[in-house]
Amino acid sequence: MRCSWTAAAIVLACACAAAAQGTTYNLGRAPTAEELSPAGAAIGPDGRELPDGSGAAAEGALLYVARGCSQCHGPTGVEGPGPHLVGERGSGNPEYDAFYEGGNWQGRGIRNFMFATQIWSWINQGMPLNQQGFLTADEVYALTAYLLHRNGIIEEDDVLDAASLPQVRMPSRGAFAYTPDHPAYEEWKPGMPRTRGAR
Amino acid sequence: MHAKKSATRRQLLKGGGAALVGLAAGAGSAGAQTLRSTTPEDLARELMAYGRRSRHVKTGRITLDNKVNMQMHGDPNGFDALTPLGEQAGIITPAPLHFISSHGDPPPDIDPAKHRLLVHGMVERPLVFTLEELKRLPSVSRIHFIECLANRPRPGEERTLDQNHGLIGCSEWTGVPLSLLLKEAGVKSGAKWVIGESLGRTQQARSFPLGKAMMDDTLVAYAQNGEPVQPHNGYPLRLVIPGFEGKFQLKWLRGIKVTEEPYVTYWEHGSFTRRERSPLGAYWEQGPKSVITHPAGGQRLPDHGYYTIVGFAWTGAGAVRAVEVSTDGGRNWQNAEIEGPALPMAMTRFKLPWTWDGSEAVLQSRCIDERGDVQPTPEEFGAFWGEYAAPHGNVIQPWRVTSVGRVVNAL
Repeated sequence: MRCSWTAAAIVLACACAAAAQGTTYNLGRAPTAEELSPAGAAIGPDGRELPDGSGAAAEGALLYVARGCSQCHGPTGVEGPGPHLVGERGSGNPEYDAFYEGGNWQGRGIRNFMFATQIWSWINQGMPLNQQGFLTADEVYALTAYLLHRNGIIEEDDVLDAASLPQVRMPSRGAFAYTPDHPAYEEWKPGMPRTRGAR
Repeated sequence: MHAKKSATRRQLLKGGGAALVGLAAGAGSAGAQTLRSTTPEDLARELMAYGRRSRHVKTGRITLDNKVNMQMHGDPNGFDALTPLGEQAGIITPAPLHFISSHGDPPPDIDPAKHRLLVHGMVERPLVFTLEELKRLPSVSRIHFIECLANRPRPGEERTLDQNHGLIGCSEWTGVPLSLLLKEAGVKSGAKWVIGESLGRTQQARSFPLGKAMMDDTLVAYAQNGEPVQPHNGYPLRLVIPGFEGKFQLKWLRGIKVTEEPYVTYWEHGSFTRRERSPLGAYWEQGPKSVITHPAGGQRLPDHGYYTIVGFAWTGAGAVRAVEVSTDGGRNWQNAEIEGPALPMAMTRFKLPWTWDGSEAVLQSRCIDERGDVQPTPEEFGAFWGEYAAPHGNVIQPWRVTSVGRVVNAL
């Protein structure tokens, strides 16, 4: 009882201090721990939102078939009808390439993800199509490992978890001036020209 | 009591009460009216609470077929539809006709009483707001276009106005400036980005610069054209980031997270970013753009004689300064008249009188924005972007009027 009173007093004191620093309207409340990390939260490059669990390519290969991934993406990930999961673009199937060329799929293979954590995030939140939320965290780690291995980015026996996945450096990481660590990066400012050299 | 009354009226109608038919929403035959379960008065009363357009008006969004959805989003049931631009009068797109691009997420059924907006990440005080609390905060209402980054004219004679330009709409958005919410939460130093988080079934997220979020024009909007945002466009909350590509303006908004780095989520990587020509590797703002909506691809001119060329212009850079129109395939250009307001980052209507003499003509428009940027020809655009042209395209759209009055895409 005494402890909780003390805690409450501290919380109250902090809240007052925070309020004094800048809220104008004093509306809204502090979120609960649960509200701060909802299922399917966006996952950043440093992976701080990643849940516990782990997996490697061998389990992922089995899950790729067992969880139905191969039904849309093909037995080796390039047969469609879903997007290619191996290679950058070009499936070797002209009809399939013609279908996707001109669509938004170009350049969005696994190798073009800027951050490995985003592959985990997309499988977790977006897949399987129409059955989102069906895979466990371990399964998503294993499938991520399988796809990264198939694309030559990690070794077959590399185990992925919340600590190791953010360490995987994607080949596209340095290719775009989108992120602050790129030498050509410029902070957006009002009136900044949207393109260089257009005029 | 009520049923008896209705029956009496049906009998009246059958008996030739033509005057009552005239009161109905439309002018169907008396025979058809007698088959309705409600009388004209019942229908009129029903529509007094929430109106419906005349049954003679059939304009609707153009839904994309499964193949196009599969191509765009990898989902045969993609929940995407185009604005019927040719039917739009004035600069406001009616909310039920505003284009939809949802990347495979159907609108979630969100209970407004339970919905919460979380402001978190690199802030001094993470905050959770109810809708009621958001509406207590000072609101702003602004007219802005939202355009999908993939809205671009493509070649092919049969491609219509809607197919080439239908991924745009313009609404009056009402909501709370995002900067106000961020100031309430207190942004920590070192923060540079904002991640919008959605409640759709794939819980999409997008990254955009904190600098834009802190400008007063970025809104957490709860209303569109005076009423709650429609489910397909984000009910109960959506981001409105004026001038920026539509992809950033997340629907079904549940979270605003302040970060040091962009997340570059699934819908932000690959062809959504570019290593060439763009200082940030991303586009952010839409370029200057315009299109003639009448006469336009897919339409037909019934006769020679007078027509008013009408269309829309817009730019992510601010206001439209001028619109020029050519009726001879781009050899000569004349200033079009701006009709109505030319608001920053809003669709702007233009018009030009034109008499069709019956010979083949190529009509096109170009937008010049307040920054002095001019809408490019396909050749200028191609020379600048090279192989990286698609999917972002703001090229001049030529329409060819054939000698029999068919209007076709001349790209």
